[in-house]
Amino acid sequence: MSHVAIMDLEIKDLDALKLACERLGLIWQEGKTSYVWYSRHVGDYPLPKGYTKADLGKCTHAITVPGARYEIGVDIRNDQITLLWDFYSAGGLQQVLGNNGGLLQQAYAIEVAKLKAMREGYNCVESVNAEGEIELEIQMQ
Amino acid sequence: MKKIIVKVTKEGKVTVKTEGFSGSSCMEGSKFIEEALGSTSSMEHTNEYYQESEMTEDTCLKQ
Repeated sequence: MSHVAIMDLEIKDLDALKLACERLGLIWQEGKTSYVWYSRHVGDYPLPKGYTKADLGKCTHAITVPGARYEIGVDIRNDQITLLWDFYSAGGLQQVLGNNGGLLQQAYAIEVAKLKAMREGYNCVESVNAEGEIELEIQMQ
Repeated sequence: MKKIIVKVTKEGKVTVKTEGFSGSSCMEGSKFIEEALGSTSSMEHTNEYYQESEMTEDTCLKQ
């Protein structure tokens, strides 16, 4: 081992995001320009950078989460992907996907790493430990 | 074998480790994965990283 890096995850690859949804059993709604949420921002969480209250509820695509009333908006502006979601408990997203959508972030990170590795022609071996942590080993030779 | 190991917790915390690279070549080797994942918030070089770098330097000096 030569170095260890801790990453700040950024959602940048739509194909990997779709694969992450598939992995978790979420339903990708191509071209759906609104998502279900509380419909009123009450200031309980910060808005994404560059977004105003008026932008909420609008998106480029949406993700339906089985078991949750609310949906996730996938908004694309200037090639940047922003996930819009309302974690108010009645909406059920937090119960299904964990705090801050941790399970979706986990699935996305694994799928994007796997996609990039496979495009480079490397083998990937995936495993999950008892704590639910997923490990992807990319074999380069 | 050169390996990149990506670990992701249920909370979405992502760690990238490299194994089997010599010296600082690990930085270049894992760059494509790290760029795909986002930005690096912190990085730690292991003892092995420095040992291997020193060995490489020493070998070069002797040649």
